[in-house]
Amino acid sequence: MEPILEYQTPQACVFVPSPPSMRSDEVLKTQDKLNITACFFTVCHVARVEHPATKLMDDWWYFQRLKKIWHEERGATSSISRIATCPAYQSIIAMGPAAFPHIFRQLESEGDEPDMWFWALKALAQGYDPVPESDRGDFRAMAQAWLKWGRKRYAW
Amino acid sequence: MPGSWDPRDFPDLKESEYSVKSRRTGRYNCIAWAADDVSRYWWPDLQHQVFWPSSAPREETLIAFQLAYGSIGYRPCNDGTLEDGIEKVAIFVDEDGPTHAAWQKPEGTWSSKMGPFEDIDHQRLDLMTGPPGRAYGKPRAYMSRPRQPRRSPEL
Repeated sequence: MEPILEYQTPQACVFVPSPPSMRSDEVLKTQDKLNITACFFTVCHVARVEHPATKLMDDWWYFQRLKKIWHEERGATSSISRIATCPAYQSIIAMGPAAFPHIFRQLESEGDEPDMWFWALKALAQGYDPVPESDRGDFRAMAQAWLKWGRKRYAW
Repeated sequence: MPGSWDPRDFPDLKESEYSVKSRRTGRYNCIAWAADDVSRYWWPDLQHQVFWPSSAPREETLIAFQLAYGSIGYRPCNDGTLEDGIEKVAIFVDEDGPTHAAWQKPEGTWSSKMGPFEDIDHQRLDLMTGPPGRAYGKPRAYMSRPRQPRRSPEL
């Protein structure tokens, strides 16, 4: 049975200025105050608010960093168990379902040369595997099966 | 042209000792390449995600790899000496188990797929040693069968 997973959609980043501090000058008239405050508003504390899209971007860079480290860690091994137990690969799995859109985006970008993301995907999908038995080992077919599965559940 | 792997992983595999014969690809691995199958990745992974012959156990042991090659007609033999009309594979093992396989070409050179990198031709098998967990260790078993026309094109 397939697990039920959250659907995640990237959204725009939002920047919200912190409450401005205005130089008070009770002598000035209202219009003057407005003109002056336009100059003296201090918006030096432009706060980056925690937002789903912000987190998505942070996760993407974190994912890319882990991918680079993983490639260095695995070297020229063919062993899937060694590939999958590299610390950086395990860190990607440890991201939990948040890793799904990043892996799918990465997998899609790899085209005809998909990398070994299948172990992580199966682990994150709690053991579910959409790849038919006859396609096991055919990385291109495996990537297509996973991307088809992913598109029904995630946006990336 | 040097291969794409980190040369520190294979300090004995100097550029003069090998020639790159394919482009870089991760779609098949050394075990598949030695089995003349570039359409899929061979490994006895416990998640059953990639191909492994059904007649061989899914375990990272030398016997499992020998049985895998046995499924396509290979039988154990004594060494990697070139014999007329015979093709051979060498199975490499390190302290943690099987790591690699190389296939012997008709002229006696060996052909290896270097993990997710290129295929190479190399004269010697003892060049694959290096740092533990990074290189392939040593050839521990040899298998042979009557030479067959190679189906897999060099990419």
